[in-house]
Amino acid sequence: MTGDVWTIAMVAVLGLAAIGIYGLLILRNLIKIVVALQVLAKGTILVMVAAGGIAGKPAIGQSLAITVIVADTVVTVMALALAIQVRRWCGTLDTRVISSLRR
Amino acid sequence: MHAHWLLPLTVFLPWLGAGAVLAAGRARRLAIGIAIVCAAADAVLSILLIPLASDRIGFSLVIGGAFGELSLLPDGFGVYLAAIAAVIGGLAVVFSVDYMRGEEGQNRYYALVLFFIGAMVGLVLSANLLMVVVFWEITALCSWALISFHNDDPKAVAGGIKALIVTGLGGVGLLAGSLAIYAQVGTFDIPTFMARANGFPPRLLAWIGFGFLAAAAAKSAQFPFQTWLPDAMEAPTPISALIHAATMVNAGVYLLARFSPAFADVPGWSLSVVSVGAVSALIAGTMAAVSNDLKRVLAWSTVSQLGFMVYAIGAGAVFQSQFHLLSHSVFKALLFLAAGAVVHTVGTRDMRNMGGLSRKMPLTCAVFVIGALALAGIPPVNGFWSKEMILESGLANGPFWAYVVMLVAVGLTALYTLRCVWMVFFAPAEDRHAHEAGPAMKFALIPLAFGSLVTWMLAGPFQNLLARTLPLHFPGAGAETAGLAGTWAIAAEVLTASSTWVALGVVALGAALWAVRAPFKGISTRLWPVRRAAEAGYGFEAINRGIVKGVQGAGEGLRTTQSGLLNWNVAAIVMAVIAVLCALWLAAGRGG
Amino acid sequence: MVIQTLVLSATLICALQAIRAPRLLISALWLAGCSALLALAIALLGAPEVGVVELSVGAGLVTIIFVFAINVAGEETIGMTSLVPRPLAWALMCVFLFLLIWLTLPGLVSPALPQDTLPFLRALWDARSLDTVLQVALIFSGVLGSLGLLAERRETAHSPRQAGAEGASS
Repeated sequence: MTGDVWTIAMVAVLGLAAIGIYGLLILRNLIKIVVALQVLAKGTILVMVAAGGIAGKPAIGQSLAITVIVADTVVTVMALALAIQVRRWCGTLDTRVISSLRR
Repeated sequence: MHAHWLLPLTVFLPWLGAGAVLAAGRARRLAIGIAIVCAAADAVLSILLIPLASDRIGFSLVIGGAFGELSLLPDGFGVYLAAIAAVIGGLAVVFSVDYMRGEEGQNRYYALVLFFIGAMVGLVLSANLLMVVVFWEITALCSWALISFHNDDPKAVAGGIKALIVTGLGGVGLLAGSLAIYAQVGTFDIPTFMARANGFPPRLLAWIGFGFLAAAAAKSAQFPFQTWLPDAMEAPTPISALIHAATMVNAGVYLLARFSPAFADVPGWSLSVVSVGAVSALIAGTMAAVSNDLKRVLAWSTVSQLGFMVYAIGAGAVFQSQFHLLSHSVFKALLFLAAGAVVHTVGTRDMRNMGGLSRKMPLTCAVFVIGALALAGIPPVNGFWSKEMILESGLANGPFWAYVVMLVAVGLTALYTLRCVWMVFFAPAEDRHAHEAGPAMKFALIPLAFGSLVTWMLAGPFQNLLARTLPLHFPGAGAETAGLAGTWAIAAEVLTASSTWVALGVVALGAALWAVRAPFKGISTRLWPVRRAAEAGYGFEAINRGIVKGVQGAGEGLRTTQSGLLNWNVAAIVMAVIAVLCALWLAAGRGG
Repeated sequence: MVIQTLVLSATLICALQAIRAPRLLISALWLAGCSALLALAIALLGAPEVGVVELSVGAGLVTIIFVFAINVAGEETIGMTSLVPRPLAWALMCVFLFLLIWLTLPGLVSPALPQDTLPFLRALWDARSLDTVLQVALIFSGVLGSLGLLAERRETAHSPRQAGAEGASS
């Protein structure tokens, strides 16, 4: 490892992505799943900043990071609204119970 | 050159119409009006395209990457098939106004018909092989949706699924061939492929050729894929006229005609094409002779006539096959629409319950007889000229056994056609209620009957069109015979060829066999095993049922992977990403 | 550089704890901590504006919305047994991480590219102006969508279950 600060940032990105996806695989509570999605989004924000720095265009990378922040926040809000609706209609937030495709 | 905007307009105007029809919702008359206007406009546009035919690409949209450009090429094959699709489509839409009156879901019906017309026009005008595949599958989708239009009738649903699966399996051949062409040439452009086909490795070219042959045979219901077309007769009759007689089943013949110069040198290809055509013509002829369902007889006759066209392409007679395609589209659509009028009033498709309708439905009877004369190949109706031209060139260029088989098929055609006309219109029967066809139906029938009588005169101009725009297919044929003079030359050639008189003799023999069938009843009863085999479709029905069951069973079995559990879905996504990353890693490793 | 390493490691630890926490509120609080530390890390990496936005939006707004949602939906004790068996999840993630590290990290050591000296605000409002406009539209549609989703009142929440019961009994 050359000790470049961007490399450390990329390692952190990979770590956040891995933790987020691991959470998506493991968790059963819908709201916790949204938390895992947010962790994954944090990784995306960081990768935008890091990519801008590595490629030599920091300003573009940062404005893309702003875009990601906004978009992921909106997604989180919508996802939580949907989770609340699921709770109202199905009575539970457990992914094992709310699947209706099973016979 | 105005073809630049006329081409995409002809392709996509019906799609816009389909969207408008769906959006019209409850306004039933508005929806029907939109459908008629769109179909009529498209018919006019496609006819306007004919003088603009050229061998250069008329319209192209650069997409980039692997897709290349979406290009439309208005050459001889394309413009006349587009005109057939649009004009007969328009007539079918007009006919449907009376036929589908009072039915449920008419918006869906008209939208699907318009969607189909656009896709068919796009199919024949495309110069990009990927676009051909996409339009091919769109026509298969519309065909399935329209066969199963009465989706509360289990027979209709089963017929639709069968058509979809069988033509889809053939479509795999087309897709595989296209991808192989792309891998070899680096582009999906058809003229580029045709120019470079000689440089392909022979085994690859053979695979592509036979793949295309399988796709064409499946789409045109040729042997061994012929069983889906009779079951597709559950569709409303205007659909049978449009899709399963005049347009979609022509797509297979079109495919073979367009690519025949590339594959003509592949060992065994031409012989396979001739065999497929001849066997289909013969088998279908026997099936038509023993069937009692009016539309099934017409369906089998379609298979048989398509067999004629395929046989002609195998014998190298591309112009003759396309000319017969033109005649066949017109007279088969005529026969189907007239049959539709009959079925609509009598209420049954069983010919044993019909008879004596000539007095109650004089116009329908007259146009049906015209179509029957064309089908049997009796002069001066258009079917005679084109069929004789095929037989003549087949005798000259193809194997002799195939010519004999085709002669037998000609005789069988005359036999079952006369049988059909007799049983429906002239057999003595008790007085039953039947009324003449409605005004919209008549409006559609009369132009087609007129066309059957006169389209043979287009032979000369048609030959010019093909020679001018398709130098690869018709080398060395300059602008010789001009216009109608060419037609007289062709007509004279036909009348003086010996094969013509042989064929006419066979036709007379076939008709006579039916007319004096009483003494032959003994032979008929002793041949009952053959009859039973023919009625059971020579075992192909059983094979087909097995294939359909297998596909549906596999689908049900794979349903367990769609559990709807979020976590497993995410696991599947992660596994897919891992697969992609591995592929990237391997590719990078190989690329060094 | 050491500071950045520490801050990023702390971010990862907070993220891990957010996943593993047993109660939803604790999980949301760990997420807030993760956002705050990430904002600090981004500011240290040379993007202070992004850090500020991330702090206020990620650590502030999103946490408040999470708390609101948890209050409305209620805490629910769902066991920690997962549908995908844990060893399989571990294996998938290890393979995934290994492949990503192998494919991305060696290529990061690039020769110094010429630095583009576009200031951040110019990039946001000139070069990526369409992005910014679309983000405004996105926020509006998100707000309206959430209002629409949540507009259903409590009484009607019972009717699908009632209708289901009637349908089952008839």
